[in-house]
Amino acid sequence: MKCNAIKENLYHIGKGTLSPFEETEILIHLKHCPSCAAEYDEVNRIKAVFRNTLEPVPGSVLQNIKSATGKKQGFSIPFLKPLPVAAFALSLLLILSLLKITSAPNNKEDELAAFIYDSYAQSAETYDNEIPSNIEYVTYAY
Amino acid sequence: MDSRLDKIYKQHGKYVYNVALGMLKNRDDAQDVTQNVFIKLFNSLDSFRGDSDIKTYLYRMAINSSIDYIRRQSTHRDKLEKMEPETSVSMVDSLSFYSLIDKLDDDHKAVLLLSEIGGFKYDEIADILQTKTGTVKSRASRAIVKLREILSKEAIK
Ligand SMILES: [Zn+2]
Repeated sequence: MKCNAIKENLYHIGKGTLSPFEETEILIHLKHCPSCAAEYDEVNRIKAVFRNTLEPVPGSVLQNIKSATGKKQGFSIPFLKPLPVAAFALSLLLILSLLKITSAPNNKEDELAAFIYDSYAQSAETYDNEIPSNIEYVTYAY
Repeated sequence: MDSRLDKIYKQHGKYVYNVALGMLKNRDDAQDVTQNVFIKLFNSLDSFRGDSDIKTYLYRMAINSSIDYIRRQSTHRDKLEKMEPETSVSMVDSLSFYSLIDKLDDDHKAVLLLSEIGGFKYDEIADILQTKTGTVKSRASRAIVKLREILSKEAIK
């Protein structure tokens, strides 16, 4: 390649249109030709302007994207995801049912019944004892 | 935000924004374009198969949306002044990329922005701009010649 062809192709290095042979030829030429090497420096200065002056994206852009895309996903509370809540409820039910099966039969009702019966029997006995033997049953006639 | 979209934004957000900024030379408009591009991407995210499809879509949308903005605003251009002052091309080191390419046609700007900011090869740029690789190459050549002229004129001043 002559100098003009080299200069025309300087920007195209690494862009996928030159063959590896052509790229190597250009790079070898640059080592021996000050004029083309100076031109290559200028191309690289232009590239450096792009590389060095990129601006950061203002934070509001991400906020706006988040609020716009968040709505599409519907209402959700981060700490109350449907699946974990369902799993928790299911395991709670399971634990409760297991407790019911494994626990000993409840004797409270029997105890209560015995207590009431005893109290009644005792008081009946007391009253029986307290009734004086000389009192007769009176029948009122209306 | 969707975690996949979050990842894509972290990877490409800055570059998409700067491509839009290069096309529009206005930060507010570039922000609008960037957020609209990502919101549109989110709405059709499931239809993409690979990351390269997403990348192509993002930058194509950024360029096309910017061109739409320019067309819409050109109808009001007589009434409106540019929101940002022209940066003088005095020293290349203090020059921003969007001021450097300000004098280029939109077609040439798009090729340089995708090449330098997006890091795309010419066949990828051709895919994004839906044109031929040869067209991209010749636009890049003309753009560089023009920028070299601008810079050498400024060096003489
Ligand atoms: Zn030479």
